[in-house]
Amino acid sequence: MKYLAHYSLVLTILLLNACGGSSSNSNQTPPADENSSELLAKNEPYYKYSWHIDSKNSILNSKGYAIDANADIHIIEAWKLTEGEGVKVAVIDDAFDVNHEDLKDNIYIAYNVDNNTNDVSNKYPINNEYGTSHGNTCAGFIVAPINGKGIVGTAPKSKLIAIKLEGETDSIVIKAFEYAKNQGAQVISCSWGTENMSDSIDAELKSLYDANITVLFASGNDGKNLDDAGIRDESESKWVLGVSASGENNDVTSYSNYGKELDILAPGGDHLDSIGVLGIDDSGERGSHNQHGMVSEDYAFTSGTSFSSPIAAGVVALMYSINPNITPIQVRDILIHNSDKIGGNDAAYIDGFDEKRAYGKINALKAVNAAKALLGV
Amino acid sequence: MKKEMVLLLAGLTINACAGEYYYENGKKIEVHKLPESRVLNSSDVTYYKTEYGHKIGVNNEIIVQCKNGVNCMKVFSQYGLNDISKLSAHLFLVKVNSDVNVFTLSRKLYDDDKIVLAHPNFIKNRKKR
Repeated sequence: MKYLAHYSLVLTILLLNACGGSSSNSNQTPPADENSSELLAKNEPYYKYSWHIDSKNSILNSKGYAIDANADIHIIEAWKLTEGEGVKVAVIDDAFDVNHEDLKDNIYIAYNVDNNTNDVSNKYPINNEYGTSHGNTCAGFIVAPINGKGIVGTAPKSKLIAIKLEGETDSIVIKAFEYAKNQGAQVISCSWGTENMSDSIDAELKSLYDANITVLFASGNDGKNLDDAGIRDESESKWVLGVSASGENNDVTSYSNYGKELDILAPGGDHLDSIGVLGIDDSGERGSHNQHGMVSEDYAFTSGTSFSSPIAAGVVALMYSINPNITPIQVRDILIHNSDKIGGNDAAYIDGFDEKRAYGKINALKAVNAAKALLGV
Repeated sequence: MKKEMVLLLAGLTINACAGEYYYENGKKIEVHKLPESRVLNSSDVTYYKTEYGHKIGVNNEIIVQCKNGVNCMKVFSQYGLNDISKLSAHLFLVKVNSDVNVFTLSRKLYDDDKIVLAHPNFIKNRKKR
């Protein structure tokens, strides 16, 4: 058996060479004990800028940006267990570029809730305040595949249900959630909020929770205490995971909203004195302006809890991939008990919870391992 | 019965600009009408500000969830409501005539012990994050 494996490996290498797969990189042949998908991910052109994926190998420090070596979420180690195969993740947002090179191959379906079509593109002029495809960036952080182009998402083999939502009534928001459920989404990421959630939305979130769907919401970027009177944000719902942002310095960002109902931190990048996280272009096919001379106009550096939610959603997708029967309550329990308690002297975790940092930063490797352990195999 | 229905609907007719309220998360939320309105999907929208400063719009629709085991359509018929569509397994969208005060009707439905929640189909600004 050992010999069979050896000959299979040799045959694979020969075939790769015959097909040009290793081309001029024969001097970069990986050590046999390294995971192949990890190596392939490292070959993505902009992997070196993706500190949220691999902070230790980020080259941004050499470009003057301070990236803490521990700022990532141990995702490449988690990919040794799963890359999100078999899981559909829905992103409900403003618009998507379904032809983007780092999105198109992982789109399961695209749907426009407002007009019941499959046209999810951006219709606004680029200079209009709505002239971005915020959904594009969010989706890329989850499902950007390992394809030799651009970046890689946190669940690069999961499939995207891209749901365009512009209408503002409670009923159309419910319709969007129902569509995600009916299409088989196990994870739903929402990078928006009202701070004024209606009872019907909370009831819908409960029904998704009861249907074993984990919904994540970004907490918001106002540095605000969501426990203040009169605020009832979607990210605080008992039925969702509320996600705030950690930064390049491996601590919570100053702009993240906070409160006792929030759950977890995930990288969102600091927009004050650093560079942010690298995602696919937020303006879709029309280009944005945050390339910093490092990446093409199909990509951009950005920041916000908007991007923490999908980065965390990708981790949740990995958990569903390794354990398809996992429940939302198990997902939350695993995430908050296997997080990294980041922060300096001002951090004060009591029973695992810090006022500004919730239950700490998501740790993908620990989370996926714990999800797998639930299987008892 | 018809006379009672007419009186009920008359009582629900819009006539107030201030002092409206609805229930959310078990709490009474007061709202005050804003001096602006616009048209969305051919339905008139009226805007209010809640006591906490949130801007909300309402049209001629209400969202309702009945308690488990209750025949919701039967409940609706008792209120003379017949333009109903299903949003999910538990949530219904009820359309009423434009002269009906959706806050008043929502409160009446909310107070019905067969109903879990009832509120206008709010229009709320979603902020990208």
